[in-house]
Amino acid sequence: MKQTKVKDSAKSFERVLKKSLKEKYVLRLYVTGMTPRSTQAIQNIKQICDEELLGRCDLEVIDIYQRPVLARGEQIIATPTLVKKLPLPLRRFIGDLSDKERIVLGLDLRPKK
Amino acid sequence: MKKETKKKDRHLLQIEKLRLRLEETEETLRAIREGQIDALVVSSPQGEQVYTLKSAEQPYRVFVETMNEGAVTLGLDGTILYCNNRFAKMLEIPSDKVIGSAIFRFIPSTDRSGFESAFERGKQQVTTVDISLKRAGQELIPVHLSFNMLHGQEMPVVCMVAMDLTEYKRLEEALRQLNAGLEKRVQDRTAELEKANETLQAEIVERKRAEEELQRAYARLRTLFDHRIDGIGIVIANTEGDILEANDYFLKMLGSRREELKAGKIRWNEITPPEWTGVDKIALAQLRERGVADPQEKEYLRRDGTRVPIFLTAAMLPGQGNEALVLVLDITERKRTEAALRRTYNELEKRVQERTSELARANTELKEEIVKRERTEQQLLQAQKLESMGVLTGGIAHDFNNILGPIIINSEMVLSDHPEGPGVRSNLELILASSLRGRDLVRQMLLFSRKSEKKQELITLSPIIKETFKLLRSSVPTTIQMELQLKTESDTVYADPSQIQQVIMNLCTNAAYAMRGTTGSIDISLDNIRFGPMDLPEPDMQPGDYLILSVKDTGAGMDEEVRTRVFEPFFTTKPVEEGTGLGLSVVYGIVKSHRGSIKVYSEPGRGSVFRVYLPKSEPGILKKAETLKPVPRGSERILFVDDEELIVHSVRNMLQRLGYKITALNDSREALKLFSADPSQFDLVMTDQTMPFMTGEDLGKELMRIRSDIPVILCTGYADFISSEKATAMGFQGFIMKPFTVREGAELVRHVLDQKQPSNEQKP
Repeated sequence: MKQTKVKDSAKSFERVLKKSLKEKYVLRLYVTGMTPRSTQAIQNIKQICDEELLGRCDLEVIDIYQRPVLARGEQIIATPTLVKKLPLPLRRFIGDLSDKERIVLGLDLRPKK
Repeated sequence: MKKETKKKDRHLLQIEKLRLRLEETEETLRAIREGQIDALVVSSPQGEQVYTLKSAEQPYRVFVETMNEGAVTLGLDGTILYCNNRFAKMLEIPSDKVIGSAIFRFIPSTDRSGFESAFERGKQQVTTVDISLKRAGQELIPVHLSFNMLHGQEMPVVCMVAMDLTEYKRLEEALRQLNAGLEKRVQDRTAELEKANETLQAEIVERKRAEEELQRAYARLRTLFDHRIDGIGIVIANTEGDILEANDYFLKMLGSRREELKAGKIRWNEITPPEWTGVDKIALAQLRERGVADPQEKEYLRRDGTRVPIFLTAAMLPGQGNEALVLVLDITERKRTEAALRRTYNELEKRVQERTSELARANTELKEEIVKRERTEQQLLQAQKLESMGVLTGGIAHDFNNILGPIIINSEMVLSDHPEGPGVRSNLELILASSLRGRDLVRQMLLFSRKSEKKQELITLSPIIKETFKLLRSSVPTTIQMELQLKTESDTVYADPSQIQQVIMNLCTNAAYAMRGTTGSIDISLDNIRFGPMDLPEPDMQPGDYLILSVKDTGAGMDEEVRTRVFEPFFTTKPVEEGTGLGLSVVYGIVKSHRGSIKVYSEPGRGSVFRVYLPKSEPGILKKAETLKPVPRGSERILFVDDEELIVHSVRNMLQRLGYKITALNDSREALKLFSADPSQFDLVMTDQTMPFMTGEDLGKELMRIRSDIPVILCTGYADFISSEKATAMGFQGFIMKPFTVREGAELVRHVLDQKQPSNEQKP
């Protein structure tokens, strides 16, 4: 699991917490059918949503076999890819999302160290 | 400075963005290196191309091989490029034999065109079709096929997915059947429900009707008691005696007021007189048993104590416990009419009975009349039979008379010529006696045929009966008792005494013969009887007073056959030498000549009764018996005519001996001629009746025409055509039956001459 940069201040922590508690997340997960990483990614993000974003997560899973056109707009180069559409800034996470800590940090759900 | 700061911030922001993109790129590279992805998306002029990592195909491969549908990839010419195990199993052919084959091989010819059409369309768009696949064993399986063009390959192929519909079809059939069954059940149930609904509707209608009926019935019932109905008493009463409702007419019938009814003072068992309680008990029993009582008649006691006859009928009211509806009719008027009718009926009945008995009487009389008529017819038949026999007998008698006449006359003359000489005289006397017996026999025959001259006069019967009784008593054997009963004193009849004597003699002789060699009795009686028109014993008798001369014996009696023939001439039950068969026929003839009748009653073994009915006459001057005088004589001139030479001879001799001057001829024409020549040469003419050429009657008439005062005596041996009365009526002075004795002839001649020619009389 890779370490992310997080500002170590109580003030920013509280701000992030406060913000994360009230902000709605719009997430898009691009997969390729039932390939192993895709199915694993679906399970992982589902768990994160349930644990961290209870009630304020709008998750959409897109199979690019079925809807290949959408992949172009989002500049998807590999699957599975998770795109955080909101809150801004937009962020992409490639892989099966098995590094939960990194994802939670990347989604600004926890203050960076 | 501020500007510098802004520029610095902008640069910092760009640095931050770049850092983030770098980070992202690094992460992407790391993820690819670490194998956290399984597909790369490459943009190309044909669009986004997804390249899957080899390891990522495994789930698809497993998925396709284990799925329940057959999966096939077909070349555009229909060659099978790939099929999963399921498809091979469907066809029951190993997959290595399937791949490389043309799909059309497994399509039955019937579905070929449908398959081809769907296959062609499947090259353009997703297409489905339901057809059959042909198995190795030619068996067909229903399948649902879907075609889809698979792009993004180096070589274009068509994907075909086949779903086995066998189970589906089975289920569908089962479902269809189930559905059909269900449908039927639904229909049945619907029909049941419709029927139930109809029944329910009908029930509702019926209930409504019943309710309306009930309301009407109630209204009708109320009408009964609204006090307006007249002519019939309507009552609702219970079996205990209470009257719960009654109309005005009922109260009027009883002469009571409504207040009394309301106060419970009128109870039906109390207004019924004691003698009618039995009727009430029967009616109550009938009500309890079958709900209706037979109509009955009885009486009610009115308030004033009088009685009213009523006709009553009752029925229990359903659902009203012990209450009954009672209808009461006042039948006073009817009873009155009935009584009047009964009286009329009784009168009529009496009249009918009277009329019936009258008719019965008339009927009996009619029956008796019929019996009488039948008897009369039989008697008439018998009489006709006897009559015809009489004619026969009469003819014979005539001939006998002509034979006997000369014998008698000549015998008498010879006897008078020879008063002495024992040998000759006794022989002559025997000849005379036999001749006289013969004459008597002929007379009897003539008596029967009623052809003899009547010598009837007014006489009383009793002396003759007594005299004959004495005569009989001496000749009938003493073993036979004889009794005489004269029950009447008025016994005058117009009759010939000697004939009556003969009747009694003949009847008694027969009676004695019936009891010969045994004991018995003969009862002779005389009595009076009066016959009305309806009870005459013989049809030819006249109503009036009669004398019954009855001769009853206790002898052998007669059977039916003998009894019906006893009066026939020559019918006899006696041996030939003992009887002539003339006795009872003579009796019959005598009785008939006296305008009487004879009846016989007899049964074998019980004796016989002969009853002789003689018409009674008023007593007049009765003839006294005369004493015998000497034979009269004379000297007058007499002309005698008879066709029988013997008679001519005999009579000539007889009259000459008596002193007369006699001219005797046997031809009447000659006699007339002689007389015509000198009518005054004779004082008297005697002529026979039955002669050839000219009868005595015609001769006499002719002579009397020539000389009106010439006395003529008519002689006859056969009295069929002439009688004493007739002869007298025709102008004859005398009439005599042949054969006659010298005395008879002499007395008549003398009598006639004395009457007509007293001056010429010459005493001998």
